[in-house]
Amino acid sequence: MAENQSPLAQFEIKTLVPIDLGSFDASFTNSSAFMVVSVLLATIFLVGGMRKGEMVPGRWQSMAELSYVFVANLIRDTVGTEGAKYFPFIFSLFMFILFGNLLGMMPYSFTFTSHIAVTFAMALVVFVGVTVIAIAKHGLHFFSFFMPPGVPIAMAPLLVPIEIISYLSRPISLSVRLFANMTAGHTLLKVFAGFVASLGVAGVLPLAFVTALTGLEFVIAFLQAYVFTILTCLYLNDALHLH
Amino acid sequence: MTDRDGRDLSEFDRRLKAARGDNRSPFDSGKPDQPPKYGMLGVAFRMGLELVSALAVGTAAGWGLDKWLETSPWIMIVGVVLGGVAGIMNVYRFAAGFGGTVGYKKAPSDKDAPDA
Repeated sequence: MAENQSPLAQFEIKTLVPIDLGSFDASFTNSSAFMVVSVLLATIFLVGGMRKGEMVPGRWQSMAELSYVFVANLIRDTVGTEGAKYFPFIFSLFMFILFGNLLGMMPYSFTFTSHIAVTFAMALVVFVGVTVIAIAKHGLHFFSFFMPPGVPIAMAPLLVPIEIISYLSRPISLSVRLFANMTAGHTLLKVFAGFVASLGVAGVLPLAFVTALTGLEFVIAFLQAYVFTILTCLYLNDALHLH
Repeated sequence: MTDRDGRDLSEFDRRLKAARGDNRSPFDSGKPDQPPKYGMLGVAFRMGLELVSALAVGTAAGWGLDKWLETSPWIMIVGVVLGGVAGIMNVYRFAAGFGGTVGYKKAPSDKDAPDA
């Protein structure tokens, strides 16, 4: 199998503009390029959709409004009215991940959400942000979070480390979920697509499978953006309303 | 009131007024949206991930503390056990519908909690 036909070749980072900051390699890569494209597309989608701001929305404006209302409802249902001021961040997060996932569905494109470095950085921002919000809002009372109510104090030495580990595992499960779903899906697509040509006439079977899988991947692209967003909302809810 | 085609616009005007009166913020009212449902595979994947990620954090924290305090390998052994317990707690909470909550309080929104 040729090198560029490996199912994992699609995840390769290629440097487009080398930038060296001392010991840091801050090069502009294909991953960065697709992040920029994702931000640009999301901006065009929203600003372009709302440019007329008609009372009776057209198709484009409907889609822009639909995505706004979708995230707004999500925040209202999970965090409540208090979550409204975090709407810009959560909405940006959702649109960024959604456009990144959907861009990755284009042939020859690069899926930046299939890199743990990207998803973990996003999860870390959420995790640190939520923790800072909780400490700013509740002060030292935040640390009562790690001691479930109604538990005898003798259990604290055992329970508090467990709760802290459980809390610290959040950014890992948050980031691995998005990364693993995107990587696994795209690898599977490529593996089965590789069978199509090599099986000759019988290749219609993997072709049919790849077609079905592509549809599933679109669902997963949306679903994972949604899951990342709703978990962010749930964490934010925990931070705002401690027990 | 009629438009150029002679259609009656008063009906539209009434509906428009009704819609304008309904100027609730999307943040504070309306019935909750039903989130998409996930397959059992997603549930299984999430459970495995919850289990492993807590174990990884416990092990890594123990390993780091061992390096720092030069007590290798004792804190790591404790960390593996605590991480495993935390993982099981994560899975238990998820399965019992506690959502992403640390602690025993049921999240007010756990009916909307994703299962994937």
